[in-house]
Amino acid sequence: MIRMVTPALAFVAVAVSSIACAKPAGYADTIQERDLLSGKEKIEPESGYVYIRSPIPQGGVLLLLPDEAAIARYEAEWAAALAVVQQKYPAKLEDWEFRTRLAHGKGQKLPEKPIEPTPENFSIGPIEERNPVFYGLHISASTESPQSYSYLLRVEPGRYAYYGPISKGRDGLSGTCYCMGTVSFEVKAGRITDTGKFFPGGMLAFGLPVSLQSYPNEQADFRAHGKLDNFFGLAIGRMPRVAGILAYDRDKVIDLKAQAEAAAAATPDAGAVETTPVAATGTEG
Amino acid sequence: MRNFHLSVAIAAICLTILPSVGFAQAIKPPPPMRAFSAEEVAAVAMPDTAFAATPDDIKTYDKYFYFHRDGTDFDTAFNDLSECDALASGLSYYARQDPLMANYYVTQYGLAGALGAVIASPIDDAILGSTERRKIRRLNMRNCMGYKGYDRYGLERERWQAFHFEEGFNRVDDDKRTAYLMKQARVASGPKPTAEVLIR
Repeated sequence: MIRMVTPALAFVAVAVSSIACAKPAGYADTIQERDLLSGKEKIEPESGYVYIRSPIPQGGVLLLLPDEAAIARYEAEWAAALAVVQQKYPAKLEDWEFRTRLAHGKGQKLPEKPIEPTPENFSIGPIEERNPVFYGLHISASTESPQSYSYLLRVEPGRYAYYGPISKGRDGLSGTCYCMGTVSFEVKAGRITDTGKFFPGGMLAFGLPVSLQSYPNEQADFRAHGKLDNFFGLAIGRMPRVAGILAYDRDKVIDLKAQAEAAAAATPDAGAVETTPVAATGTEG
Repeated sequence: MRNFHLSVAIAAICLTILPSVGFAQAIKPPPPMRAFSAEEVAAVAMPDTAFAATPDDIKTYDKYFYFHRDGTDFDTAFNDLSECDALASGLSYYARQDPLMANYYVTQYGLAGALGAVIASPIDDAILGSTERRKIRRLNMRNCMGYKGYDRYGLERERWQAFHFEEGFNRVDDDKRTAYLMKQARVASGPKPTAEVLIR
């Protein structure tokens, strides 16, 4: 049973939503309550939706984790790009040799030799970095409920990891990446995934406002997620421990739900059993 | 949608021009733990961490510090320091897709376009500044090594400089970096310091 904590609707108002090209790059589509009520916006069956609530305005980043199809596309892109640079290399080398001879003759500083592209050194950047979904601070919250700010994000369905309280401003990014331990959750198409007040501190307090309750919805099933690279070069941190979900053994991320499930499967009739730590999915910690 | 079309197009190109490249190499596992021989460890001279702290030294412990953890061997310490160093520097450690190399190929081989959106990572150093980046790096090393259970100890500046490096805009050479990290690992896995443990 979901306890309705939010008395009044407080979807964020996209301050610049009525202005053309209003949404900064990388930010999620953020739906306003009034647009949903008026029918201007709809809960579309092919899109996923994330509901986030907070006592204060917050900024954050969700990372769409790659599924098999995304990995296949990425690998194909990597291979194609590698083929392109490998094809260019002989000409680049020839050009470097010519410029080196020229520099020798003129007594100038020698040019830097081009790096030969190989599968080992070639990179197109981490796949996890490709789909960050920013939300938050650039939008002003509804004044209907000043004690509660909420965000309804329209996103691509899939599995998301919470990357941390990070804001994207004119001066670049600021905040902390939860690179050393966080959670992930599934966002299904055509449904609103209620994350409640979970971000950024891990408080389990679900509850959709009345206007959203008639839509297909479910509470987020948070699972511990392993380490992630510090793509943006920010301060590094991790989500605080969350009872029943996320724990740490030093820097090793422990998936408490998987641990409980494994214990239950091993001894279905036991009330209390000893459990062994289960590392979180994602990168081994 | 545009990205999807782009990816499909690239996939199609790939199948025609590069059937021999193994796709699985695009995503590599995290680096394996590096193992050192007893001779390699012995060849790393133990840095000098013994000094009589002055009030001025103590004021700079937020900058000049080293790590130690009881019961930790050299290999573990080196790999822990390397992981934290990569994270602190914003390098790809777990996914093994080096953003510096990605940028190199974009700029030197003209790969912009297909990869441009990916490579445009928003590290705004022009605004952040080299000093601030060094500060974040120090903080990140503290956090990361703290999570791993290492204690932190203060050090006098000159002794610190003998086995540490700072990094702002310019990346420290890989060989020098490894040599520094090996010296730090020697201390981190060595005898327990008698100095006061600082807050992490």
